[in-house]
Amino acid sequence: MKKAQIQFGETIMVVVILVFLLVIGIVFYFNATKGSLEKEFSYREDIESVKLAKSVLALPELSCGGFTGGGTTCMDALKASSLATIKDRPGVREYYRDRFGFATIKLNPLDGVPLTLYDSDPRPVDLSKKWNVQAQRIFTTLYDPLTDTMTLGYLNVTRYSAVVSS
Amino acid sequence: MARRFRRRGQTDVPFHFIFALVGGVLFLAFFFILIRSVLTGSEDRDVRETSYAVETIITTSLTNPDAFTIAEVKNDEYRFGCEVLPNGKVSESYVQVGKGKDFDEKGLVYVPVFSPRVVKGDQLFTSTRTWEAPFPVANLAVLSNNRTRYVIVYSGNNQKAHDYVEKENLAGFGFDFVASGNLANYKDAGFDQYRFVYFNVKGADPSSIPSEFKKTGSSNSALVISFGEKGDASGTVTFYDDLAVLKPTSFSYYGTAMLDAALFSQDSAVFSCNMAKVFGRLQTASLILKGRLTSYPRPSQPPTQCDLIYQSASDYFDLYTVANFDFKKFAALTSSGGTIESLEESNRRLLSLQCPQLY
Repeated sequence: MKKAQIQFGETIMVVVILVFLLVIGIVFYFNATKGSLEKEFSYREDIESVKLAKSVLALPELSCGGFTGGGTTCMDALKASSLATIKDRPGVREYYRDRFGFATIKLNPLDGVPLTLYDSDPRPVDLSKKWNVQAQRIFTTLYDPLTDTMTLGYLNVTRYSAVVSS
Repeated sequence: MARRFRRRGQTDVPFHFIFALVGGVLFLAFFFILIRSVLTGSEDRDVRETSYAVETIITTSLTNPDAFTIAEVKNDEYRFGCEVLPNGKVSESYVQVGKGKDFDEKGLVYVPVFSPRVVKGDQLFTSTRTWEAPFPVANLAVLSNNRTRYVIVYSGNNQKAHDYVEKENLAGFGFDFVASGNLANYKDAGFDQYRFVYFNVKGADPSSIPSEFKKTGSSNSALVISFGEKGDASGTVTFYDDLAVLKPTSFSYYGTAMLDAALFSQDSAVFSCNMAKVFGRLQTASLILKGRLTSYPRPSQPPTQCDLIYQSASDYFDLYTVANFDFKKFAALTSSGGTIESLEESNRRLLSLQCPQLY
């Protein structure tokens, strides 16, 4: 009878150890998957930030006229100033909010007054979330049609994305 | 005693065997499910990444107008979708890879991309045009690949058609040039789809397209371009979405960028849906330009010629601030002597007077 009890105990121990190993394996697997997803998410956020910065620079409504030969790296200073003035108008605000999402876009002429072209910073409004902030700076030429001159400036494009809690 | 031991041995062996069998099956089943979920997850991730990569390729191509680029992608089938609501707002626009269900339905909602509905293969050709009406409004992406063929049907001299393709930097997309009288001899060379483009051919008749291209369910289509008074700058494009049925759908176009967009759209629905993304920008662009005028020097007394032009231009820009712009409302601006023509003329005069231009 004692022999039968020992054999039963061995079987139980084998099962317990196997289950323990399986649980450890599952925990490692899900941690690895989570890490990989976080990396993918972070990579995508970086790409989105660069895409946003490039798309702002290439906005046709802000581009220099073809006669300046400025190309996509040239921004019309007066168009930028006009956008900075009308950016909070109902139709305009909605239009750019749909396109740019949560972001702040500022134009900083090297010898002029900084202009905020777009501002949708969610942090003061939505206090319940934590926010990732990615910033890009891109230099551009600025054309002034009144003086027919070119100067330099840079765009500060800051993008906000909510931190996904695990 | 010996008899009792023998019976115990007979009982133990089946128990262990059954236990091992059940435990082993459960163990194997668990790993089978785990491996399957890993593989499925890996496939989904692959599809998701490819879809995102193609979206990024197209979006960033918009930042480089007039450049023709070839992108190497995963060998698969790329499906471009676009849905527009009755109020003119685009509700969905996306690229779907293969039969994958993991894609962003709104990934391309702000990206006007004119292409075949389905593009197969491992290469994507893209080019970008800035649409001006007459001021720059939006960048339009045209997309295709080496398995789609554009057949330009011309009458008389083919030089104009060749010149147009060269001028627009479209040669890389793959064009055949066929005289209208010789179209019956054009043969299927095995491409996935053909788009027959009648390039300002008088009396263009798509029924003359050889029947091998008109099979029901094929993705071949035709476009008839009719230039207006100012050559290729404006006119009418008529789509024949299904060559088996040949039902025409016409639109007015303005600017060669819009003409290129019509040329590369597989059908009228692709063209109109993606143009809806663009019409939404007319109002904002005109508001920016109108606001720009306020930075100009105040009119002098008496007002100069330039001051008068700026005054009337402000009124013209107001005509763009129409809600829910569509083809019909836009066509009203392109009429002879209309708003667009007036703005163009004003800009030319300002240039000759050496005053800052309107746009």
